Amino acid sequence: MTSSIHQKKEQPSSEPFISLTDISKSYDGKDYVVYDLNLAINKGEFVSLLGPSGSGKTTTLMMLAGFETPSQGEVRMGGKRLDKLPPYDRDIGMVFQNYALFPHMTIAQNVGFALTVRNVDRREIKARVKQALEMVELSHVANRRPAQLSGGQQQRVALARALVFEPALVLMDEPLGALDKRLREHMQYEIMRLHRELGLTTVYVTHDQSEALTMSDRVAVFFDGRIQQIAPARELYESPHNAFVANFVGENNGLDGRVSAIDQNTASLALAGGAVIRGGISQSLSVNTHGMLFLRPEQLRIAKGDENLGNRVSGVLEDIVYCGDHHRVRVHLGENDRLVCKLTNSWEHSLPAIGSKVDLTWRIEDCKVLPPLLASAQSSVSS
Amino acid sequence: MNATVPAPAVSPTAPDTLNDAERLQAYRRVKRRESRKALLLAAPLLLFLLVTFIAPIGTLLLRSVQNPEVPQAMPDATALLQQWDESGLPDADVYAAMARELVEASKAGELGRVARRMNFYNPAMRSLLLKSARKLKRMSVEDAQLALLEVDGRWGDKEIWRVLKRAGQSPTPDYLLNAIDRHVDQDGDVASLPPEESVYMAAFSRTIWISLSVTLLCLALAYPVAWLLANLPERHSRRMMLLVIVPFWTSLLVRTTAWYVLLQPNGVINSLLTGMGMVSQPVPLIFNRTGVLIGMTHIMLPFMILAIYSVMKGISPVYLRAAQSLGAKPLGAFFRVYVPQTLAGVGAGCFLVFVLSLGYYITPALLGGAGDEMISQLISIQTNQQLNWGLAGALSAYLVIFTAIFYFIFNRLVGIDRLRFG
Repeated sequence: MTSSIHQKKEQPSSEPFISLTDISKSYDGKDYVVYDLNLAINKGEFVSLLGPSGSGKTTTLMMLAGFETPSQGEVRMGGKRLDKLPPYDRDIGMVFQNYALFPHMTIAQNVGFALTVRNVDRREIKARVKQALEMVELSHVANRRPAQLSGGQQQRVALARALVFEPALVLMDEPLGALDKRLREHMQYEIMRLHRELGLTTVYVTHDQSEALTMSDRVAVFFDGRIQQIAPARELYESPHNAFVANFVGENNGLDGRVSAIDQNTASLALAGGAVIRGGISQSLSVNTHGMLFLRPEQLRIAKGDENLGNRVSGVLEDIVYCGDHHRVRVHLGENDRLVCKLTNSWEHSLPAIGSKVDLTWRIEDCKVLPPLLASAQSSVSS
Repeated sequence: MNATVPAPAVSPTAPDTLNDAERLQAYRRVKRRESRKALLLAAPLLLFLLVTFIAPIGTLLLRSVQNPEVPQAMPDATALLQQWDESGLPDADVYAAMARELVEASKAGELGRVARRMNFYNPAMRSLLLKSARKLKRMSVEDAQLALLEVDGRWGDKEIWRVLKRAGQSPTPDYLLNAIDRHVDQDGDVASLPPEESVYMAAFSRTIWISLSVTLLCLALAYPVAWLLANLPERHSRRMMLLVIVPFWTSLLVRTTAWYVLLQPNGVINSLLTGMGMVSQPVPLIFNRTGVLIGMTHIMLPFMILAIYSVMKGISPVYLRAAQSLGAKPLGAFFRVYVPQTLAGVGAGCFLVFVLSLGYYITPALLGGAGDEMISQLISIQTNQQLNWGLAGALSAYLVIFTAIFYFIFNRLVGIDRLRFG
């Protein structure tokens, strides 16, 4: 797998804090939910598992938590085998999707639950609960029931409850999914603050890419039970490893073509309409195979006069959509090839009319030629 | 601009035209109209309930304090007796009125009712009244006191007159006292009846005890089943639910008679047990407490299962996971996190089963023995055989009051109000 090669580069020389090695999970022995997964997480790191539903990210999290057992492979934390331990002995704090606060207990009892079952002295429980609630700025609701709290407050209580026993690892399963956009952004900063201040090791599952990109040290993109790429946000966005990652993270123009020439770091891609485009390569490609061009819409611009930034194609302007701070312009290049172009709204752009001929130009290093992914990946990506 | 649009009654553009009082009035008018409509829709049902349910029950409960038989048949004697101070024998005019009205009541055919009423106070009264009336009819009475004493010496007994005086009082506490094995003695104090006449307190406590046992048995059996129903995959749980529901749909009488057959000394269960050599003699399973408990538990079980299931269905399994991730072992997580959340269902189930058991009749009547009579059987005997509707009403009143108190307590504890089925 490319991902395992990739992550070995990043690992420090010492043993990682958490390692999932050659993990596979199947319920029926035929179809794998997670296949041949390798993931290493360092102490204090914030790693997001990002992917569409059914990609295996939640199953991976559940295997870490102990609610699912891997069919193959082993999970280690701090050098200790984890996959043989029941969930209650793993010392892992977990924040659930809908918080799972116990409705029959007060907030203080909820937060103190982990300490109560560990038979911690009552006075100490009280002190630590108070401290945990102060940490999430909710001391005043200690005696209320979960149902009396707003969604954001419940979320913070769930955080306090998962952190109060100072677990070695914190797992979060789409914890912000039920909140509205504004609150979600606020909570993202809250979680980042806690992560930083407490030096937590965090694994965070989400299907929201902007959440993953803003919060994480590294993001693991899941698809089809495999990690497609694991990298820091910027690397993920700017140099996706394959078609799936390029399409899933951020918006992308994908054009099908045939690789017509390769020289060192660039490849030439011949489109069906006849145009030839040059772009960077990061994986091995061979001439005359199928290739895909990936190009972010914001890298494109409408060429003025003879302007050529490295690639230049011409087409017919099909569509203009006003989006507040920018216009989305779609240009038909011929056959099935279309490019979407994001034009910032400013005085310097005068938009051509629909149906007029336009030339688009962009730099060679801003686009990539990638090998296409499996057929199944392609179909679900395009939808 | 407003000219084209008809202004609504409370229009934001015309805040000055209506003051707050008028607005409130308009609001109330609409509310009243709505509640009238709702009442109209519910009226047929309310009427039906009133005629078939509330009125009969109310009448029966009223019977427990009414005492009309004696005053109606012998108005003068009753009225005069009320003025008697119980120090000596009553005055001559009381005797005279009694003698006259005994004959009149007998001729009018009302003496039978009076005799039956008096019989509830004292079994000797019936024969005394009937015999006296019969004999008085045949003689010419000059001095009523002498005549009565001649007919039967007991007319000189103060106690007879005291009972007659009590029987003339309406409303009376006597039925209500009788229903808890008490009466008003010669000194006017409330006292316990002699042990051989005390049946109702024992029956009440037996009823409560049986209901409690059935409730606990049902709870113990239903809780795991409800858990399975709520946690099995849909396909299996639906099939299992059918097993719960089908007996529920079957007639109560059919199920009870089925147990009647099964539990016989040479019935299926005993043949099986002896056949397997587990017991040498048939185990007595019927006409005793065992039979009652088996039959009632079986019949009440669906109520308990459904009540608990309806609550369990709404409890996400994620709570158990959360508890485990926080370090609770599976059993601890179950008792600390799962069970407390099911308490509303447990409470509702217990309440249903307990209250239904309190009024149970057919099953204990068929499967129970002499020592297993529940209070509703005694009420039925008083209503249908003894025709003592006053006492039946009094016993029912206690049952209703007890149920109401029990409901109140349970509602406070577990909040049955909050529960919804389905």
